[in-house]
Amino acid sequence: MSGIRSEVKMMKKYTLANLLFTVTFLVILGPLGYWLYDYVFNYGLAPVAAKETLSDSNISPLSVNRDFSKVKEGYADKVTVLMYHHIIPKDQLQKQHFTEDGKLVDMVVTLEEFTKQMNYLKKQNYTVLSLKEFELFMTKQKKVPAKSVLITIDDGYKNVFEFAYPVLKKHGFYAVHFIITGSITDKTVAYDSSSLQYASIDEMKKAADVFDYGNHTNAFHRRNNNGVSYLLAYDREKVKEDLAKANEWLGRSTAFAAPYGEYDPTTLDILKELNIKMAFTVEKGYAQPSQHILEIPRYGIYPFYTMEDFKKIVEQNGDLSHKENEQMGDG
Amino acid sequence: MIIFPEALLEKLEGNPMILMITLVLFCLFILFHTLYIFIPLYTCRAQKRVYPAKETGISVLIPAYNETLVIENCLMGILNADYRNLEVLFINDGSTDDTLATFHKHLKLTKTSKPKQGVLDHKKIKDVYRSQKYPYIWVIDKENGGKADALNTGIDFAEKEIVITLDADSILEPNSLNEMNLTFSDDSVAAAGGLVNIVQGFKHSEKKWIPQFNIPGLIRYQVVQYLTAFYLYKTAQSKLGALTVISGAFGAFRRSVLLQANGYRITVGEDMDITLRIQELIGTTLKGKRIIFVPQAVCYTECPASLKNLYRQRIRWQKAFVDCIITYRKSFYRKINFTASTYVLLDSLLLGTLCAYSMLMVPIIVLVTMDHFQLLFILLTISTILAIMQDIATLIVSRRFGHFYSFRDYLALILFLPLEVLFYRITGLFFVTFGTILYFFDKDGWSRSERIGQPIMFDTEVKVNVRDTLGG
Repeated sequence: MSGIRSEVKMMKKYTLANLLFTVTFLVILGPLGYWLYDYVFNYGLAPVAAKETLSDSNISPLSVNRDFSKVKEGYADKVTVLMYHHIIPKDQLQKQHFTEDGKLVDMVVTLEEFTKQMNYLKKQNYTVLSLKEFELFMTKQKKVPAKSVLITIDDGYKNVFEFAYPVLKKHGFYAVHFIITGSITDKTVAYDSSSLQYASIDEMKKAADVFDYGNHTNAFHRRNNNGVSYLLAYDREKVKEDLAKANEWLGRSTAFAAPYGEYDPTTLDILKELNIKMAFTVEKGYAQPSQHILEIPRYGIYPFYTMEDFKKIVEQNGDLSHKENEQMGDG
Repeated sequence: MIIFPEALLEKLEGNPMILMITLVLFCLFILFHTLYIFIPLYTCRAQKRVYPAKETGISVLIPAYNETLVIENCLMGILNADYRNLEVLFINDGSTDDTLATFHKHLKLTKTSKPKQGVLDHKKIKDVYRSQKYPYIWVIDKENGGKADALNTGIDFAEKEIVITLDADSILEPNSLNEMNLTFSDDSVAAAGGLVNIVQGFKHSEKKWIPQFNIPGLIRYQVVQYLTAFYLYKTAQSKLGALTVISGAFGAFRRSVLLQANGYRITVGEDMDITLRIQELIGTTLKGKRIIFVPQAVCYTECPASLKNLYRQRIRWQKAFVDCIITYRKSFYRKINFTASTYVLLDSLLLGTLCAYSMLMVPIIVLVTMDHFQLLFILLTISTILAIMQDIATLIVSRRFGHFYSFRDYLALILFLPLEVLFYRITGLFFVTFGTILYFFDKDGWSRSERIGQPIMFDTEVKVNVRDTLGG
């Protein structure tokens, strides 16, 4: 009898110890496990491409078309088109954002500089055009104020949605955002400065009040092993298929920009076949209705530009090519 | 032209693959180690052990090659064993030191002959001696042929139904043979492993062994490691039918099974080799039989006291392991059952050996790419805390088998655990890594670690002799 009783007592002791240990184990390792899960799904895993497309979501292109008939300053015969890629706050810059000799890579403009530039445009009463207005200007259906600019941003990086979008929205500005549609992610994750993050489909939808979206290929923003852009390396059918896919994804075919600014006459033929209305290059120059509408020049805004340089560009006076040759390695 | 940082794109596109592999391995690691904690915790309980009245015959085999320093301790354990139906065979494997003389001194040996079955090959026998003082003890003097060869000799001479193999430095607990007898009263048991404790981790007075932790760090590490390996890992593996190493320090086999296995293969990892061979038999001709671990059957053995000797021992173990994996590579999942194969290939090989490289590589990769610092931190934190929890589980489970420490020792243990996890385990990783590499460059260099031969004194007749011999 006593043997059984002591065994029961022992069992109770074991059960208690096991329970205590198990609870402690779960309390300590549970949160750690969640932390790992959170990290992996936010930053670690390759982002999953969006299952939903922009055309599914019934978000129509911006239809902003303001009345400029009472403008006193006069009308523009050419419009400055600005081009940006990454907009990142200074304190979030990482090693990979710098070149070997410690300069910011050309594609990055700090949020601080960007904000200054936008403030300047606002203060100087520049009209930041919507894509619709710009299209009408280029097709000679509309006159726009003399001090007009079009802001374009390439690639669809998350940092633009995170940092540039609020600034543009605050000023009531618009911008054309060229999206590599295949890299838009399914889930919205926390911003992580150390990795190259593309925007999610939800972020795109949320920012549709400021951004008009353009075609920047579906998955052809790459170079092959010989350094040739996919747009030039692949045959016509493949390229057309990819661009058509991006158009379909966006649910529109208004604007296109070629990756790396590299294209050839075949590309232009494809654009025509796909009924793309406007295409932008990375060649410097101001946009005029007399130009080829599938080769609209843009001014890239680079981190080494001072405010004075920026002013010269938007005021359309001054040639900065000297400065660029100096700053850009392979010119 | 604008410079697009393509390198940035490529770097991040290449990374997730490495990352995914790391994470999958890490999750496997967590899974195995969580099982090692919870299976023993929920299945182990101290039971009152009732030994069967019938003593099944036991032959104890002890190969000895130049073991003068420790063989007396082993002999003392044998003399203290509380068992009648017993024969003990010391196999002197061509020692070049005083091992044979030591036997002569304590055992009053006379030359005799002993029938043998002649079914296993082994090196030439020089002489067979029998003790006049303890007629159940025999000494077989043979030409040197290595441990596996010596064991085969022993099996050939053994007459009893159960064969127990010990190392020359193994000291049996008095009731350990009764425990094995009880274990083998279950017909399904083909082989069993006993629990091996580290001598240096105990105070021994009279007939009692009292665990103590007031010992050097290197030995503390091994004590904790042995306790975890036996009380958690082997218990869990035994429950899952996945025991793949019966320690050479204390193993028990049905003689018929050893004969069916054709004895030991001539290799240095002979203990893992014979276990895997028996697992093969269980998967083929001995279906339904089991290999189990018996935590109540205890022996004590010396562990290396210097880093150099520990290094030698661990390199030898790792080489032996790699050798077994290569030898049995075709048997996994075919002859050897699913859990045992999975255990060996995933836990021992993939996580224990191959991951050793990746574990050592992870910090290097992170430093080179300057990426995923946070991930490294999370992984390190989880594995450290898991290791500490595992050590605590070890203490809980070992207590249930009567392995009590004093309050002071528990305090010392708790303080030691983080050091164990952060320093000693990393050292262990290096051993595993070097051992694997060395296997492929120097297969035959099986350097052995030196014996210490700390005299263990009991209140027995031998005590006086031991003192005489060692001048204590």
